[in-house]
Amino acid sequence: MPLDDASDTMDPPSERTRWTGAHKWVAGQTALIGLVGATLFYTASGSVKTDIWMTSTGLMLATMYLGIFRFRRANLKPWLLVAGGLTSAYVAMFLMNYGSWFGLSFGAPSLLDGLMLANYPLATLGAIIMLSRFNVRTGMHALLETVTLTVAGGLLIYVFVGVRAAEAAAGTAATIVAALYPAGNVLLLAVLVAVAVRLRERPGGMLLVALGFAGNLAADLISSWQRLEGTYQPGGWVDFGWLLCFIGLSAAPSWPESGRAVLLSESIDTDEAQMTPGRLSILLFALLSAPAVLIGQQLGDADTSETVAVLGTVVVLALALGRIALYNQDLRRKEAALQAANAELVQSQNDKQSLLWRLNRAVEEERKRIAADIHDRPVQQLAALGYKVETVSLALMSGDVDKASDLTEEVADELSEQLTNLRNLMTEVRPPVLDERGLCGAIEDAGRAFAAKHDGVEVTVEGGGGAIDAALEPDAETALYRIAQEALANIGKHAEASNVTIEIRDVDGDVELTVTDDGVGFRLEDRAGFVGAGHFGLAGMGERIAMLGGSMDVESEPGAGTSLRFRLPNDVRSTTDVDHQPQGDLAATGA
Amino acid sequence: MTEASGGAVRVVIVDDSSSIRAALRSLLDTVPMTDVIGEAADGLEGVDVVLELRPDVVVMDMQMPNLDGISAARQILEEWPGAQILMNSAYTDESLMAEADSYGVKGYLSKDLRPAKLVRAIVALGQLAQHDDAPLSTA
Repeated sequence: MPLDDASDTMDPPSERTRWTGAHKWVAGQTALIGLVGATLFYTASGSVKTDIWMTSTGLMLATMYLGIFRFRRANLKPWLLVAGGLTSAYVAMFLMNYGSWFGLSFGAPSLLDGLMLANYPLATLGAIIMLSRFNVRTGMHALLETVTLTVAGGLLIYVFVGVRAAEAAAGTAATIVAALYPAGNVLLLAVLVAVAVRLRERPGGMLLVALGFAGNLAADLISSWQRLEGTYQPGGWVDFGWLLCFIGLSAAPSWPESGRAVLLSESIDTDEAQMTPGRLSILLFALLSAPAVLIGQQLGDADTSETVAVLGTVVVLALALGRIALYNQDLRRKEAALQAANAELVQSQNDKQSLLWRLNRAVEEERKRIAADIHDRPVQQLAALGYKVETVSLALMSGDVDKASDLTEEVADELSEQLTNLRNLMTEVRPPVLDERGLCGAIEDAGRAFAAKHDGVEVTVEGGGGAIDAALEPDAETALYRIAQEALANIGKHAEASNVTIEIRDVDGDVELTVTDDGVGFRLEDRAGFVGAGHFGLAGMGERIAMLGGSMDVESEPGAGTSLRFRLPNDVRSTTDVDHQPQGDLAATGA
Repeated sequence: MTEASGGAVRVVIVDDSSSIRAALRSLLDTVPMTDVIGEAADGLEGVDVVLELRPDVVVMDMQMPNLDGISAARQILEEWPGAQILMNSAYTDESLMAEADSYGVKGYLSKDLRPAKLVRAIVALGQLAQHDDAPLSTA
């Protein structure tokens, strides 16, 4: 299926991730053996019951190996550890039931306890390696939750089962063995807690392993309790827990998803610290375990467990408090981060508004200045010329030809002067030099004018050439020209530079304008305060290039000059022909 | 143009543009019925010159440094209600015209008007002023 193919490409599995005929066959065998075995076991009686038990669990163990070697070749180690543990337990059961065939008899404790106990560490180790291959929570929160739950549960197992079983045992060896079983149960509990708390996803195979462990744990605990109370009946409903252990573990390897090595540990859980209902119930359980332990002590009549019970309770409470403290800490950190982000946002908003206001004012002032220029120069001069022409007319009427002739000459001179005035005004609005010589030529002129105005400053304009001049939109061209002018004005005002270099280059199709000076420079961290202090030059240039979708980079250091780099992306550039021709490489010195 | 019965119309030009002052003076000098008796380059100077020379007609620019034309006209008319003032401006703003009118300014001419019309207005206003000291009701 296309969907599966896609997921395969995105997340290449180390093992098969889809149900195939083979998967179905092995899983089907497991289900069949489990179902038939369980049915026969609970319907039969006498020694046949034992035979049915040993046969069905043996077959399930074989199926487990079949599944492992068929489907888990790429990940054999953890599965063989789990299977090895189960095999060890199976051998113990086999010897216990059929040892007499070989003339073997076992006391208590014996080799069989060793085989039986080996199951717990082997299975636990295998499951933990399996878990590490999945996307698990690895932070302090998850660790605390796992430890809290395990310690609290372990404490309950210890108080309710462990101490009593150990006390009931006769002799040192028997006492140690009796205490080791609950310890093994704590290991199983730790795996179950880890699956519940740390696993971010729910892979079928891993859940089947957990189901097997849960069955084993429940049967162990209940049977231990019943043995202490003297109510345990072999072949009863409690045994189903162990049957479930075989069913779960033998089915697990043939579950396709469980083989996926989803190594997503880099994925970040943003709600790691959040108190979900599940995590709250962990804390509740841990807190409730304290009174439960006290009750257990009363019931168990176990003086030796008092210190452990108190210490354990204190540890559990401390762990729970630690988890709450972590949550608090995270909340505070998040709040601080939020406040900082908010302050930054407000600041940037203010800067932007201030800049916009300033830009608007600049535009309005520019208009006012141009209007005043038109009023003061062309309008007045043209009105004066009107008076002169009227005077010429009157002079001619009165026959004063000389006066008329002189005045006409004056009128012609002044008309020419007015044309120059209007032309200058036009240059200020849209520099014709941009149309005549292109951006590079215009910037070259601006550099030359700047150098002429500032003694001892050398301005070098480099770059330009073919593609740049011909292909910029007029507004982009004007913006870059204004930026160059503003950068020069800034240098004139603040930099105290003696060399200025302006470069215009085509970088991967983008136009890049760089203005570098060897002046006094400034600390980059001071830049944020420029707008607030009324220095709008840099921000204005940044805004101007940003309005065209471009970007500005500022490099500066006190005493090491300043470099401003403006980059205008490719898509702003015009595809229409512009009537001026490319200038070729420019390397003019404006000084 | 008719001949002035009381002699040439005496004119003061108040304008910050030296080109305008020179050109207008040259034009009015060519016209036999007018005589430019004084000039001022801003409103403050204009008030002084007008109140001192008491011309028949004042040609007053609107936008000038130190004191604008309308304020200068107002000060002149407060001191000398009989002054005949013609506003001559590049701006034709209705509210400014109304304001000037309310102070008793006699006319409001735009600088884009043909100069002959300005001359005719000056002569007409000047002759009326010479015949009758009473202020005109309208421009």
